Amino acid sequence: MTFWGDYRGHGHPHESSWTMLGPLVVLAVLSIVGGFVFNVPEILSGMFPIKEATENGGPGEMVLTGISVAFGLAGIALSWLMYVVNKDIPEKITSSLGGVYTLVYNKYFVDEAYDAAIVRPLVQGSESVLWKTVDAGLIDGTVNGMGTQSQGVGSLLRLLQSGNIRSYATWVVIGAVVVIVVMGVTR
Amino acid sequence: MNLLEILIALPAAGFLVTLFIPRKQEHLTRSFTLIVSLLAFVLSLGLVTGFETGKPGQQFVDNVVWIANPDIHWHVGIDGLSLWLIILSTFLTPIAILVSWRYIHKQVREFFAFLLLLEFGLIGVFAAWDLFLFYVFWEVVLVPMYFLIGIWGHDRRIYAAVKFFLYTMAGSVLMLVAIIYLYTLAGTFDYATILDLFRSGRIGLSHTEETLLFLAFFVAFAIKVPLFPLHTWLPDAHVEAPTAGSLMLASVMLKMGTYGLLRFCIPLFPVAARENASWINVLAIIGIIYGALVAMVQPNMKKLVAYSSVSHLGFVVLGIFSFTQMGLDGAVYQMLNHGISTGALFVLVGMMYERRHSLAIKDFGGVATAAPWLATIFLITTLASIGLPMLNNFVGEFLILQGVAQAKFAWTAFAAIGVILSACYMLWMYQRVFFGTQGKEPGETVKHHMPDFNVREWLCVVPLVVMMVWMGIVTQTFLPAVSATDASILDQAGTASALARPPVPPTGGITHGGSLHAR
Repeated sequence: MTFWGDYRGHGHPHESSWTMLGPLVVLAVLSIVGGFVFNVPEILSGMFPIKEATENGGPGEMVLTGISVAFGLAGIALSWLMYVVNKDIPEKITSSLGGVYTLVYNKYFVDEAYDAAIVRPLVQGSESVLWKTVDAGLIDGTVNGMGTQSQGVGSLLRLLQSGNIRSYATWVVIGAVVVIVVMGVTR
Repeated sequence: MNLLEILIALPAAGFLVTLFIPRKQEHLTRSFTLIVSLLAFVLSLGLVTGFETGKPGQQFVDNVVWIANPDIHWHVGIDGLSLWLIILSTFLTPIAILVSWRYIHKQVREFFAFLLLLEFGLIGVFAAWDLFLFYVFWEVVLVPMYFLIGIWGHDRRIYAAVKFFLYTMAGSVLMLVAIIYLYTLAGTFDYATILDLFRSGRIGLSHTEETLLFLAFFVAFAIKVPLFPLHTWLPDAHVEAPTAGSLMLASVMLKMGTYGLLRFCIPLFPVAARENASWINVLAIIGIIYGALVAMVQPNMKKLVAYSSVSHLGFVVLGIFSFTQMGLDGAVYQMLNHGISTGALFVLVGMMYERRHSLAIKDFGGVATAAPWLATIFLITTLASIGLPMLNNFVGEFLILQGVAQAKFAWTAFAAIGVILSACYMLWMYQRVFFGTQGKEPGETVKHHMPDFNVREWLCVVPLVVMMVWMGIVTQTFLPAVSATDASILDQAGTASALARPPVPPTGGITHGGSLHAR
């Protein structure tokens, strides 16, 4: 679909410059012949100490290679058939599969399930419970509450400091009487 | 006067001279304070070259009687723990001055003078070896920061400044009471002498005394760290502070708390420290996860970074109270790392505020297109903060987690959640600010008022990025000195606890704060 068919993009496609094409060509060539030129398992065996996989070389390996190449080619052929030769096929498959297609198309809704089960509860819980209730409400409320409390006590005690000498004298007399009475009672 | 004392005196002298610069000479003020701070930095490098790693005790010591009665000494010196914290202070002060170059418009002279006063206090805190002297420097630091927030802060600056001051003060006063109690026992404020008296058994504490004194010191330091649930002054102070204030507050002042834990709490009260380690580590882990979760949902970039500090500092406390060599090494390294990477975050966020006059994430979007270099440096800093290998935080977090695993594996498992969450909140913020769209309008991004770095801003960020990489790769520059001091702290904690109590049967007792295979 990327290389054939109708153009669906907006920009003007153009061939890449040589700075991009050069490395791509090198990589493409290597991906075809690299396995034959370099003995890859031997190079990698130093990094991966488990040697079992590298030891069943010989004809079996070529058969395996052949099978996987055959599968790859079959896949290419199938998609050529579906998307270039006969463009109706994908449409038919989609409609015949129905719900299964939707399920697979959306990757079994794993992302959505993860989002609903973990991401959203975590974000919303952090915001409404941890931040706004616990942090701003409970903890910071306690901190600021201590400030408010001291101010409250202070404003009550302030009433005693009227600056009126006569009321101070009254308090002194009342205090003295209380002290004397208490001393008399406790004796 | 040795090099350390010159280094303490220089910013103080700079502060006084700055006050006499005519008010209109704003450019002269800025240049002068910058030169003083750079000079202090160069001088402080002399501490590094002259420092002998592995030499026990303090270096660059001067110990003279300051006040004969009560016995108060001018006793300064450094070891592997304070060395790098002093370097961090002198390294960041020029950057704090540079980021404020255009940011500060009113009362320029006082602002830059206060930055020098702050540097003086910070170097003093980390150099003091007399409890009284330590307390004086501890309070000296509060003063400039109070004004930095209260005068040059944002809208709610008075509220934030008063809250910051009172909160810290409440803790400090507890510590002062404990210091005076120690004086009545020992007859001196000199810390080295007090430690000697304890170690030789000439003075001792009952179990209750030790626990109460430990708690008094601990609360003072825990507020400064800040440890959950004593952290709520921090987001307010950070959001309201000017960039330089946030930078110095997060990068160095928070470390005063963790430094105090290591320097005083553990060597003075080893038994109580071990006994109380369990619940302290639980609080640290709550702080790590809670701080990260609350950071994740902040709509304001500065507040996000502030809550992330709660999370990061939780790691440091956890490392300290693991009582393992690696845990302590990692904790100290992480103190420095946090200073660099979170400092850089505040610097960068401040630069973005200067461009858009907003700190809200929703007011940004697509910044990477408008300012690619800003986006690049911010990304490197983000990755450092998350703790990617080859960058500084990785080393600290790794050592802490490793050390904590030696003590109790479950703690490591929970703390590691914080590492994952840090990637969540940082990368999510990065995505919303630097990519995507601004606000709800599709396709609309920040196009105006978003120029890339100018030369001055490059000068601010490059040293920070260099340090992130350096500390991430060449840990041998910093760790040997730190390790040696950590080993001696653990040693003090071990021997002193052995002296203070009769041998404990292997089944119970002192190991429940963390296992004893410290080294």
